[in-house]
Amino acid sequence: METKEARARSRISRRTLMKGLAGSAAAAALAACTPEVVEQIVTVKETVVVEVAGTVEIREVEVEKVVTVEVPAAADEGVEITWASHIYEPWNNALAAQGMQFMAENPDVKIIYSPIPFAELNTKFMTAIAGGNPYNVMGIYGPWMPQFVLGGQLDPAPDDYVQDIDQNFPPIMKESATFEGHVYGYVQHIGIQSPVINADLYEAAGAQEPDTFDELLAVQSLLDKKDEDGNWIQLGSTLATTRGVTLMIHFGSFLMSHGAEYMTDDFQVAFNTPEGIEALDLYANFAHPDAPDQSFYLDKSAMEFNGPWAKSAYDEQAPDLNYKAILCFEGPAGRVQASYVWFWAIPSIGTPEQKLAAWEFTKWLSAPEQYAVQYRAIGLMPITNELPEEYADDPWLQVFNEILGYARLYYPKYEKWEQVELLVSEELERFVLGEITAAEALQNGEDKVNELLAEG
Amino acid sequence: MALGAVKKRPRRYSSTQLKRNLFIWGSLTPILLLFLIFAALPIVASFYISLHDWSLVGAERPFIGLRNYVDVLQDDRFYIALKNSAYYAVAYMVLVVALGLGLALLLDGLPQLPREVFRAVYFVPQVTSVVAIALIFRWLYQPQWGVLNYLFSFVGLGPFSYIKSSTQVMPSIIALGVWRSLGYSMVIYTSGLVSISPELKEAASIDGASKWQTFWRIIIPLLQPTTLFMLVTTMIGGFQVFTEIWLMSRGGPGTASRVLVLEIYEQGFRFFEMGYASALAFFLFIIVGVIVFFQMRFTRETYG
Repeated sequence: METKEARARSRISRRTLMKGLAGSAAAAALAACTPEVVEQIVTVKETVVVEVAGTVEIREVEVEKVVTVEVPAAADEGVEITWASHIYEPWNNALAAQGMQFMAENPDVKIIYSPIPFAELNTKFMTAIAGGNPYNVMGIYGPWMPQFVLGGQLDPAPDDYVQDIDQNFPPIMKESATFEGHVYGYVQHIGIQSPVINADLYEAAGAQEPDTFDELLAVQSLLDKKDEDGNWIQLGSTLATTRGVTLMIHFGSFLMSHGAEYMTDDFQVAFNTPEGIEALDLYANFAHPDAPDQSFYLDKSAMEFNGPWAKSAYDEQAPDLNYKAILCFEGPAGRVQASYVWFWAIPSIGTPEQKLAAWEFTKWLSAPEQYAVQYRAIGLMPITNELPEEYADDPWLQVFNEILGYARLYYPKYEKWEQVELLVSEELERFVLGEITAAEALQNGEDKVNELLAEG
Repeated sequence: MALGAVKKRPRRYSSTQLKRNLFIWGSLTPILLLFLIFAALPIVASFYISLHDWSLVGAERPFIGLRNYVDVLQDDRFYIALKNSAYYAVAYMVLVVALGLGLALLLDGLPQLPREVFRAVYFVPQVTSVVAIALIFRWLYQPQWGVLNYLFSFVGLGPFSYIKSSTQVMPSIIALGVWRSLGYSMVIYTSGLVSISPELKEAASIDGASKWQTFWRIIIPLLQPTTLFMLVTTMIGGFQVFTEIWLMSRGGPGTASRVLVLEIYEQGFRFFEMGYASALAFFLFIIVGVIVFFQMRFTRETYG
């Protein structure tokens, strides 16, 4: 039988327990009110004194510093928005820091950022929307836009944001995010996969930088090298060879520079033409399925197609690589760069406060100084009417900015474009592997796409 | 009550019996619930979805009956995927079973220590990440700079294109799958061989049976349960192949390695046609079920 003393001890311990719980609750409440402190890399101007040839000068220089930023806890009446993009480090780190900065400037907004693998991105967005809990800001790949819009899943931009896009950005920004007369978001970045050469290999071969496809073909003979057994020692170029979006993009530039295209705006097949066949036969000279995927990084290939974002990958994975972007090649129908976009879209599900915060955030994210942050992180090209002054002399950006003038979307805004891409790229892959002719590949592709179109 | 009629006494459980039944049901309930929630209900839901024009794009999902099933039967890509899946499954099954048995027989004759070492070594691929294996195999299969073509060149073979060829892609991926599963098959057959009494083999030897006769007339029939298990599981696994295909070829070149599960995945999670994908999944279920049924029947009839 429990003694009085034992009962007293248990009462004391229960009292102690309650005190402890109350203390923990108070600590948790305090923690919730305590601002979060994060580190950020910012560029600041500093005055320094330097001695030049015996003369003392005072100069203002820009330096990057790590600073701590207090992110106040969101007030009870604040709004929380979720935000997702595909994974591409260190771009994700830069985006996360930008999210933190926006929160510091807008204490009533809390942003939760989620990078998602590209292969799962579309599925993740779709299932989140279907589940009634979408991300408030979604980084959407351009060809996916029609399916989201036709499903009633995206909010068109309010008028003041459309006006902002009209006034402050190049026409391609608005055009690429427009569907059926409505603009659906700010462009995150434009995908321009243009020629990047290995300047050292070109110099060693005495090759001039080609300006046209014909010149490129001539240069290949100087750069292609095989051993006595027929194995590659060095390749003049390595363009995409396996089915999928990259093959479609790379071949897209060839196709459109020869006066053809994948599909017309009213969704008719337009690649199975003499020009398309000529373009595909030409493409085979630069696509080598027996070469490893990383040939350019391994200093074994003199050229590949890539975008401005590849700068960080080159610097990190091949620091000794002397890479250089050159202008897209001119074909019989002129100079055309196959392009695509990624844009920030706002779903139709959400509270008015969330949507407003989301639009404000994407507008803020598209300001020149914020594009500059992403350029510094991975080389993403600022999409503004003029390059920020600090990068006006950047040779990497200069080339891509010039290419932007030749950029054209390679895809129509067709909700089944993903299926078209699969069907056509299957045949392109078989051609690149030498199993069928260019004419057969394009005919097979046309037949498959027409079958898909007939399904409605 | 009529004469001769037996009054039925109500069944009564003793408290011990009741407790025992409660214990059994109590133990089974969690696993039954898990099966219900994560297997049975999704299967029923999937069938329900397959009867609708169910797309993740858009809110309307009208009932269309068996329309999705009709569309599958009219789709050329379904037959291509079915053919490739059957090709993979049959080759995978035959090679895994035959080579696994061969390996088990070879190890059976070794002393214990080397037997255990080899068993562990051959089982390592089974427990290794398939992603890691696929990445290594992609380099092994590299036509110009891959190790395999380099080694083959010493014996005058190759160069082969492996996954870069429509005719070689399936054998290349089958080789990867078989290599990975060989250890598992060997372990299963090893346990089967251990269960065969050595006295039977001794008796056969005394009666003048050759090694081949002993193997064919005694060991093989006694391994029937093991063989049946392996045939069924490898056939099911073969038809469900996806990861190796996705990592090595994505169904290419062209449609040369396009299999049913890849088709289901792309229809459901790339094109968001959930109704159509569900119908495809049910076709896969029916096909595998029929094949396994006939497999089990044939094996039992042959070996009793």
